[in-house]
Amino acid sequence: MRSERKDGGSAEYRLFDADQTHNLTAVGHYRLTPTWELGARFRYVTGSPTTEIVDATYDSDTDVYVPTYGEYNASRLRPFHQLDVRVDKHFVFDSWRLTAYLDVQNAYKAANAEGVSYNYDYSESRPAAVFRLSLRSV
Amino acid sequence: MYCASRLSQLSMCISLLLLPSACDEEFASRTRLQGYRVVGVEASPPEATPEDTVLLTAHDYYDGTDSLRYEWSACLYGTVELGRFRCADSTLEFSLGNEPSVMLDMSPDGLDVWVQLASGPDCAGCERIMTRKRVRLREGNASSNHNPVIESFEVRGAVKPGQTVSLHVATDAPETFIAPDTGEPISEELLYTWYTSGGETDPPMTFGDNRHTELRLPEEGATSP
Repeated sequence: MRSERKDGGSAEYRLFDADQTHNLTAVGHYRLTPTWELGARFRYVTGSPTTEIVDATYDSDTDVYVPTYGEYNASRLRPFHQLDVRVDKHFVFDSWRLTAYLDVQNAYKAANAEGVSYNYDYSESRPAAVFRLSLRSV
Repeated sequence: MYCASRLSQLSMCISLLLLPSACDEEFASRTRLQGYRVVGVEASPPEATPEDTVLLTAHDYYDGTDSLRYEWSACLYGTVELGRFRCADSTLEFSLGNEPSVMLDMSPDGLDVWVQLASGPDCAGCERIMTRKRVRLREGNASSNHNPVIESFEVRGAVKPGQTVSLHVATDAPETFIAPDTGEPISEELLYTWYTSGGETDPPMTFGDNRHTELRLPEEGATSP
């Protein structure tokens, strides 16, 4: 897949900020017993384009560092990947049924990058990773 | 048959949201001096007339052993777009020299002069720091401007590894000048930024009326600030 935009009628096409060339989702499900089920979902998505800061100038008058940006969207964040696992337990009664489940999202605690963080003078950078471990149950 | 209406749906959702950066490490504080760093360019006088010659001095820090190199240049007319400076024409740029301090003759055309400094350790693979400063023209009958002077610097407390000391600075009185647009007298506001090559300051960042700050000295064996 490819997603592009252009800024204005005569401008060249450029990569869109959310251009994700590959998107894989794999889902699995297994019934252990008539009342126990296991499920899993794995996702892998190409990292979104990003514009790197390639240099900076120190402005002595304002005491700030002014970044110099590279080519727009010429770099990419690292790929997103996540594994969610779930176990369901069904309770069957005479006239009604209850399902309880435990859903662990991001089971192996992938620190997926959602941007880039820089230090004060833009000489160092790191992926701005957001770690989410979500437990849901009913 | 489901009886969901008789049951409150208890949804226990625990989301732990952490915002580390890569391996939970933080960048070094802006106030920590490491490697080579330019903390400011001083222009004396800070505002000049077209007939003035301005002394430009780089105030920098370096904890290495290589010699430092300086490349000063000036531009007689430039623009700033999105924070980035551009000299309007290459014919308006000229070199000022390669010393830590250089002299600048102001433009007889009566324009502000943009100064750029590329400086850093003189070694293979060492990066240069780019610094810019705008030397402003003093307007008409405005009173002359002077850079503030640190009159005293005091360290209070026991200077021992791991201890916290208080740092105090006294500067000469802020100057009062006449605002060119309103004609009203205005007292300038002095701003202070503290840096250290070791230990940690409290607060960790300053750029205001912080004439006082605290410095937690590094532990035994660490680099002295």
